[in-house]
Amino acid sequence: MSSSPVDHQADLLALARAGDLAAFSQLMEELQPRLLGQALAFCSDSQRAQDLVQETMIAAWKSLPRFDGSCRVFTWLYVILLRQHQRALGWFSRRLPLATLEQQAAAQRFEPATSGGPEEGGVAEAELLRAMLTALPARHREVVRLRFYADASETEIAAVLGIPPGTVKSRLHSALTKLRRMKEKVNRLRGAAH
Amino acid sequence: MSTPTPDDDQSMRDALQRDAARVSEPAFDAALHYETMRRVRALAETKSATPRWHLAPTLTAAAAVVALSALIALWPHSSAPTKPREVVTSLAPRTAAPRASLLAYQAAANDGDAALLALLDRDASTLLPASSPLFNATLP
Repeated sequence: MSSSPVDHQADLLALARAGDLAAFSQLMEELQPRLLGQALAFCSDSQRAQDLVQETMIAAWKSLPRFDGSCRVFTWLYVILLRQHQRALGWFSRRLPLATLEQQAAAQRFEPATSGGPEEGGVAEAELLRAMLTALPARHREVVRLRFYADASETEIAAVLGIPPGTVKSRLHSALTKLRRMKEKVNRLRGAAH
Repeated sequence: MSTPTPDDDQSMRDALQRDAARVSEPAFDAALHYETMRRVRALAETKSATPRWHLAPTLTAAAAVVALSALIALWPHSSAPTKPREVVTSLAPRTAAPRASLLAYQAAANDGDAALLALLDRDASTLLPASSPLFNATLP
């Protein structure tokens, strides 16, 4: 008998793969809130986030036969969610011009955490971080989101993306370096604006 | 330019983990789930009800692609340059016997019809193949 939620989901997945719609429905029901939360985090529009989740689940049903169970169901769904989001945005999802980020910083949209209360500062920092994530190349952004937002291990990311674990490590390192440089640049612009 | 240290990456890691912890899970959306499953069911029913003849266009297209590929693959062989043909410098074969002169024809005519026809046959055989029906046809 399955004990952990992951095993329980794996059992449901096995049934769904055999064509059991009720099992698929139960699986999606369990994962929907977490998936919707993630969709809201990068859409910020609830209607678009709902559409995204719906398209993700339909795409998951279509590609069930191709899923080999090498990672958790949520990780697999999260990759579909990211790809659906990227496809919906088209070219603009590939790279938000860094200039936009810099202009926003120069216009003091991203106030330093010390200017308001701790909560306000945290929100501004989160907004800045998400804007910087959008400015990353898609292959770097994907790895960062999977590692930190979907809580996937490097091995799991390698399996779900079909790339060697070494590539995951190097992409993650490159992404973190780029994020750090972007943050330094934004901080310099903030300093110049004050 | 300063050399990055592991601590630099760690600060970004911490920031990302803090942001990930901020992502909240909304309540289960029953309407969204119902609509999603309605579409999935419709998809599943369509898939199971798809008759086999729907595969026909796909198979035809695949066959056409295979045929086209084979044609392209074989094309260079059929159009490969062959040994250049010898340039024909003259219509008559070089080894052919010289045709009879007017004097020879007059002499043959004096000798009779048989001799004349034999001479004509010999000259004609240098221009026409021996298998030509002309040589088998009876004279009127």
